Amino acid sequence: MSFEWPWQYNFPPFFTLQPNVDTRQKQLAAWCSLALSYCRHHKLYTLDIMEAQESPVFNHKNIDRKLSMEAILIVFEELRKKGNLEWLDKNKTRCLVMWRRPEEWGKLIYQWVSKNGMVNTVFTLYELANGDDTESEEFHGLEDWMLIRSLQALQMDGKAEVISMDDGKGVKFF
Amino acid sequence: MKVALFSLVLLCLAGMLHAEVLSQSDENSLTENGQGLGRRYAESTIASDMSKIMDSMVQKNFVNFLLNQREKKSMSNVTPEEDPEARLYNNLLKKLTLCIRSKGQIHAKYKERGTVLAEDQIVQMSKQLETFKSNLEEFASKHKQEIRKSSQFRVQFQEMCATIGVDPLASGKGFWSEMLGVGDFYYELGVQIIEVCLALKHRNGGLITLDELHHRVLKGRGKFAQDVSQDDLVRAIKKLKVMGNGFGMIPVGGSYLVQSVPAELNMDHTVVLQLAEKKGYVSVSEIRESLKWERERACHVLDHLLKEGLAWLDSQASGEPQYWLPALFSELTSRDVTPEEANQITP
Repeated sequence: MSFEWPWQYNFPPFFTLQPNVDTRQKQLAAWCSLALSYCRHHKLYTLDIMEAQESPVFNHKNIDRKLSMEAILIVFEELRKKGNLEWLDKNKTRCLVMWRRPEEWGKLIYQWVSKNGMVNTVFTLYELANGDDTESEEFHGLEDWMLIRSLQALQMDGKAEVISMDDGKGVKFF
Repeated sequence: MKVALFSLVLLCLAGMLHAEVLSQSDENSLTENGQGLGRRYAESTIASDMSKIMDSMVQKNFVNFLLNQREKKSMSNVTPEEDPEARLYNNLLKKLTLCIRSKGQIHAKYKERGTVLAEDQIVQMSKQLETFKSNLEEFASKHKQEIRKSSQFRVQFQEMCATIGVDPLASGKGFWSEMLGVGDFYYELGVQIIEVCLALKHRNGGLITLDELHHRVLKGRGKFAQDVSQDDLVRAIKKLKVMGNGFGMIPVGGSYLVQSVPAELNMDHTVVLQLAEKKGYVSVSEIRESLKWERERACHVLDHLLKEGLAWLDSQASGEPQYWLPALFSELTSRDVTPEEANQITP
């Protein structure tokens, strides 16, 4: 399934930061949702800002428009405020993109677990993310750091406990 | 008096003679060939002239006679016995006044007759209207469904009402709306228009082309609803104006832009919107070229459109910045509201 671009993607002024505050808010909201849905479609978890600048998301070659570095940073900052992005370094060159926040992932995982009656079972992280059982689930192939975070979020709610096992980490759901 | 009369006759005869002499001298100046004709002509003119003179004489006589009578009358007031001529004159005068008076009476009678006739006509008209109404009711109840569904009918119906100065949408009650549901139809349509406009407001800043609105309203109404024409939309929008200046229409290249935000748009803005209609955007130099405006005026209008959220700035265009109107961006029209957008509408 190919990625479906929003209408704004073909709208040339979308790539210019709007001077009007109200319009800019709409624009940034649209950019955030575009960036997240693009990462989700391509299962991207980390972004390099230099690479991002050249990726088709921010650089629409067909209409010869691209979002400036400054504008990209503003969009990323907006995402960070919403809890969908985390910088990996102080210079803001690399970031983690969480097109689902850890709590949302946790919820999805817990739903799957309880649906299959495996509450009170211990899983290894590998099993959860790469096991055969979870192949059709959305969290299949989830990166380790993300998985741990989502499980930690569940742990906060008292629905799971992350345990250390000899060959890595495991999790028990309640 | 008789002396005066005689002298008048004499005078007249003298005049006639003089005229004859004149015509004869005229005749003499004519050529040999035209002499016979000339004489005959002269004779006839003399005859007619004579009769004319006689007429004027008689008139003069009569005037003199009247004048004399008046003198006599003032004298006769003293003397009891009346001159037979004076009596005749008085009779005449009486008849004349009578005649004038009766004329006035006849006029009054005519007037009376006129009002009676007019009343008759009104009675006739109302009778006709009555039958027309009952026939129409019958027709309407028979063909209700077809009428309700046909947008063509509504257009013609509205036009008919406009020519006789009736606004069938002024109230939900009344014959038309009860019979045909015309009023309800437009109220319903008005609500649907508002829905569509609100749903797309964040996208187009509150401006939408009539075409797109039409398309979306039809989609929202579903397949089995009555057909809706653009004319219906225009009427419904005009009704919405009652609720304040929130809704308006801007004529653009044969169609309309529907404005659902209370932004103040003056003629300058409208003209620029019209200019942008073809391509979806305008630039300062384009405005200057086609409208012959100064740079300041163009910038002012474009800034206003930006400020109202109706236009977006594109500073990456080659040459100079372009001002895009999402409402006129054609790719937009084919797209539905995405779930994300829907979430933004209802916070």
